[in-house]
Amino acid sequence: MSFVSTAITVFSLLLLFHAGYSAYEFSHYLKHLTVNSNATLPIDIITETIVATCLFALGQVFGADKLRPVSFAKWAKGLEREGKSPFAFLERRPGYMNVTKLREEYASTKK
Amino acid sequence: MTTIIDTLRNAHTTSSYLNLPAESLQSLYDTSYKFVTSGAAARSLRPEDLYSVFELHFFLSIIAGKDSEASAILTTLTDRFGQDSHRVGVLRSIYFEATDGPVKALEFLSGRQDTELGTLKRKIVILKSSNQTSLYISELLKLVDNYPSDAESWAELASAYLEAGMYAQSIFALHEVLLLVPLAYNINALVGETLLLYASSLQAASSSHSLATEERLLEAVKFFLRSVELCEDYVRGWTGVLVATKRIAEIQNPFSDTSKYKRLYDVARKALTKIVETKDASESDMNAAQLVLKNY
Repeated sequence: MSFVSTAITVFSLLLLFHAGYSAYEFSHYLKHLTVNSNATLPIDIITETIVATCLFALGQVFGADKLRPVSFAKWAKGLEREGKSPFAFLERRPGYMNVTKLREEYASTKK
Repeated sequence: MTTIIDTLRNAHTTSSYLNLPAESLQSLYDTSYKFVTSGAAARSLRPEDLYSVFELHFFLSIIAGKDSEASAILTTLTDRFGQDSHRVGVLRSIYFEATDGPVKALEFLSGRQDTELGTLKRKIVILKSSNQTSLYISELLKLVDNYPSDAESWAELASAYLEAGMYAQSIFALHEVLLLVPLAYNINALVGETLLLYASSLQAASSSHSLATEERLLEAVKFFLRSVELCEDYVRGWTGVLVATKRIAEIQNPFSDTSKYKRLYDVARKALTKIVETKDASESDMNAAQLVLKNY
């Protein structure tokens, strides 16, 4: 998670908390300090909630891991470059390992 | 950053120790030795990873000639899995083959169950190393009859036929491998390479260009293109396409229309030069690509 994405996420959570607290305050004042209540939740609190949600989503997306390939060809290319091919065993054939030959080759080059 | 565990785990799954040069194998053995004997492996790994690392350490010790180390790790594995275990039996037979010789190994293997695939493979390898080629191929054929879904055995059979110069049979065996592992791009390239060798042998046998040679070359291009389709920027595949299309272009009076193969030649050349320019491959692959680009 990079610094920017963490910052955006934290800021969005603060905004969300602020919007929620404002909504609670609004309903509290509505109940205790007015007689007839036709008022609806102010538009700015609603906007603040929506903006906070969008910012949170943005923050999480920017902090996500690097995308890995979807197509087989690209994934295979990545593995091949790293030397981790899942099909290498078909050409190396560990079940048929020729022990004596491998030992001789190693011993001769180590001389 | 690759950790020691990742390196060792990768070496175990891809069996890279079978192809490594001596210095790399020495350093891999040193890493494995330090990791295993220090107890770090036993402390930090889950059981499935731990015993894979032990098995890898066994193979490395055997190849590096460290027989006492191999014996110690074999004892550890036997204590955990018991004498009757299939994989432990295979390791023990390898140990006997390395230290006492193939006769002792065969003696040990004949005492094992008939149904163990690993045991059958070891018996066949002992035949190969004692140079009994025809018996080796017939035993492999028997194994492949009983276990037709084992891609490794079919690949071994293909390699045996190739060494004996029986190209058609080798290609048949490789087709069987592809039936089992259709996405194996390296085997697709290998089929292409075997077909090129087959075409060469047919061309050398007859004085004029034959239909059979041309058919092999056209088929080879198909397999190389399939390997490139399965693995992007696969150097082995593109060099194969280049060589095969060049040889097709050199045919004086082809039996079929070969114009599209000239376009394929240009495509392959472009792809290879791009790989070489962007240095997108390993050292040996780059050298091979440059060599092929120069000569074809």
